[in-house]
Amino acid sequence: MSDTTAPILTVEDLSISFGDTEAVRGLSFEVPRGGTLAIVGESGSGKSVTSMAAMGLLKFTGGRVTSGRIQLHGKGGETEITGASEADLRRIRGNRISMIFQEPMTSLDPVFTIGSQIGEALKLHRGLRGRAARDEAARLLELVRLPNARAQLDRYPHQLSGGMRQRVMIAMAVSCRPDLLIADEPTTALDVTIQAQILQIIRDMQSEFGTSVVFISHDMGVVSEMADEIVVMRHGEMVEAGRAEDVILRPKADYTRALMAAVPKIGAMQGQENPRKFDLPGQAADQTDAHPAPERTEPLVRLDKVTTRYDLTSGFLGRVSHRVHAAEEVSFEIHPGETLALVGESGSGKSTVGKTLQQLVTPVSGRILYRGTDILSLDPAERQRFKREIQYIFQDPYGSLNPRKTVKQSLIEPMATHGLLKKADAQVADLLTSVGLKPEHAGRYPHEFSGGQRQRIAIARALSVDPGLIIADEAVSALDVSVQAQVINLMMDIQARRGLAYLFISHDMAVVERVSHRVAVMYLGEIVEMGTRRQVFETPQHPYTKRLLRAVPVMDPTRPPERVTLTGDIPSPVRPVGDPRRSHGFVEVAPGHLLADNHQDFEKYREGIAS
Amino acid sequence: MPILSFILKRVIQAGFVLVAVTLFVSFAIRLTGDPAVMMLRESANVTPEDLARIREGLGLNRPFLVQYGDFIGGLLTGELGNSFFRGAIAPLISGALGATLLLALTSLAVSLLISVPLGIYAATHRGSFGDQLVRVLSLAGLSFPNFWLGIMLVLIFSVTLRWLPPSGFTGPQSLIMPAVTIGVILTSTNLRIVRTTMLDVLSSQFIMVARAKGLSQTAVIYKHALRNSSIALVTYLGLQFGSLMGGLVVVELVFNWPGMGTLAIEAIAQRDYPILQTVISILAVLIVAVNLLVDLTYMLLDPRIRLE
Repeated sequence: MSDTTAPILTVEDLSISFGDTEAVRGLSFEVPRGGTLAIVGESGSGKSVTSMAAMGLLKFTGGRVTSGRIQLHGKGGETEITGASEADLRRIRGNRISMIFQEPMTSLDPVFTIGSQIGEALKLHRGLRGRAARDEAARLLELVRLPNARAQLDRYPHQLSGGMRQRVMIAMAVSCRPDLLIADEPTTALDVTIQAQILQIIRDMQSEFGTSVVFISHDMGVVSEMADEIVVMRHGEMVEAGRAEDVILRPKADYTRALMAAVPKIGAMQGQENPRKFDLPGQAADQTDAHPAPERTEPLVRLDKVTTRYDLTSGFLGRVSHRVHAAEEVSFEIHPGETLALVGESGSGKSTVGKTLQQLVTPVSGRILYRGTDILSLDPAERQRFKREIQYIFQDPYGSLNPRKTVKQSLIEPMATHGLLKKADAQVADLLTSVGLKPEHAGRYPHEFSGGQRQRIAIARALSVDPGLIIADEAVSALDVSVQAQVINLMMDIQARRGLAYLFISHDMAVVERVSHRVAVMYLGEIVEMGTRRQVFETPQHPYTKRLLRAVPVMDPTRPPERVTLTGDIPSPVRPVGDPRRSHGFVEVAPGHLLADNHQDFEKYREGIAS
Repeated sequence: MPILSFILKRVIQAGFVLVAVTLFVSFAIRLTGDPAVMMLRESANVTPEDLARIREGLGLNRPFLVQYGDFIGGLLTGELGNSFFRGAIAPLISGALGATLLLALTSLAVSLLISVPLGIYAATHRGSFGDQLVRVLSLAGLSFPNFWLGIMLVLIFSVTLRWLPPSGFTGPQSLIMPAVTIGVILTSTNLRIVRTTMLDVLSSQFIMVARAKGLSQTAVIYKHALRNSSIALVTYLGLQFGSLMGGLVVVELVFNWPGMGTLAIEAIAQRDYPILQTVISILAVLIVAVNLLVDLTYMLLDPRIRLE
């Protein structure tokens, strides 16, 4: 029997290489028995690689341990993972150490049922077969609070939502009551209300089975809710380690301090009238009134009851049987120099609104007015002119730049299209300087830049045609926090300089609280609440807004995590043709603060759609 | 009833394809020459009356659409009628079709037996000497024109070594060279498909999850990876079937194999419209049917398609 206070996993002087590249150098830490150790770091810090090494899976990723060792002190005795044979490792994997991966959509084999995939581990490590395996699998699914657990066993992964698949992954991971559970960014791909539920389930499993947890994340809010101890990693090395409270509240290393400064914290803007840049080391602190809300005179853009639906066909003749109600009677105004944030979870229709505004999709009804002109009533040639006025920045900085074009070519193309090209070299140099890049970067290709730099190029490309409005669709979501903070600061600087308006589409409430003048909350294609940033964040009225805000993890390790009610998935915006929709109006609860007038029926409405 | 409605849809589509193919073939072959002239080419003193008599005898003086209608009617009722020169068509076709299918299925089986294990080996030993060798061999196989390979085999095994009959169909040993000739080409491409799709699937996250469960390499590869990559392989086999039929024509000719290809080439030489029309229509039906089968196999293999 091992000592109850001894760590469950010891990592000593671990170094990992991929070919000639060293990914982890001299890493040491201990995972407390029954507790949670979080490994925090940005991309390339080596945190996921470390978890693969602990699973003995490193060789399947092309890496190898060059020095040091990893020891598991589990129920079955001591095992040195770094020296174990593949046969021994197979007995440990999924049994004594198990893992939950980041991407629930691709973690399950699409061609086997949920039941058979959970059954595999039960058969392998617990010798359960047939009826016994099936009963146990059903019990596990009940444990992770999957509705209709037994019926889910015969379903295939594609029939389940991301949140449900992640619950299946958790059920699979705890199926053999492991000593150690490694969760590698388990909620990063999920919506915030679903994230809160998944974190709750992981905590529940931990207390149910007494499992120790290694929790890998880039999200300080999540880490603060989960961790007892924290290891901060950067470029493969440990920067700082200690009790969660100490690391978060009293960080010692410069890097940790910089990281904490860049983390958007919900509630940090309480009482602040105007958006503010992040206080980053090396940048001058922002003035409180540097980004005031503009005068609300003539709107730059006005959406008037814009409705966008997508048809789904089925059956022999391909009749339209269902419609995706992506945007229903969406109305709002954006004024010059203003940032309107559009927030909501997957399927809320926020991206559709952006695409409709940019004329990438055509609405079924409604008007889009740009400086008073109804764009949709114009003929195509005239419409082209308005495409210049509204530019788009996409989420993925890797997919949105043509890899075979130099930066200069990418920047020149929109200018040439709209006849704005005069002195190409000078214009390109100007644009690059304005986004904090150097003129000599013009001749390079996208792959030579980091994600943050690419997003700067994407911003430069949007600016190249001198638009009035930029739609930033999750434009900073894929970036590491420190880079995210820099890009946000850049966008706010540009706004102050040029009087640009932004439609800032985001799922991240903390970022939105930082940057926006006004906020519109979307749910299932409809705006349910809209107002100034302070109105929405400080006095939220709609039950959905409240739930959304409550679900955001708060970076406060002194506060015990709140018990989350497991409400299940967000209902689908797909409805059969002819489904009567109760369109709602708005009540003005305060000047400029609009609230859906059916907000009292929200729960009933939600359940009605879900059923 | 999504599956029934799917099949019904496909059958209707197939009907349109077959009408287009047969119409085009019947029309095009009539532009290539007059069978009456061909018949009497060797004879002296041919009068226009002789030609007209032959045309009438063959029914060629009737309007094109009437001839086409008769032909389609015959296809649908199975009354394939008579050829111009070789008597009843039905026995000709049934012999040739059997020979062609035997050759096609044997070479397909040979190619799968070689390419699936080798492709899996190459994918799981990526970058190794074995993988390199497999890739070089498959490139070499792709680079041979199939008729050249056939001629080389005949030169070596029939002319020089006298082990195998050079042509015709005189027993199982006749099957070896034509099947190998086609099999080599098929194997080369199938090997690449198996290797690439396996590599693709093996890099998926669910494979890592399967390993993280503690499953053995065998279970990971033969249960999870193979089942997933078979979806792509089946797609490719369906597409390949069309070109396989085309390739067969050439190889049958090289080995004088008594199949549909040889029958078609002879019919073209003699302007024997009825045989050619029938041969091509039946090949078209076969290709359409195989692709329908592929779509149905998908449904078996992939629940995402079955349950949509």
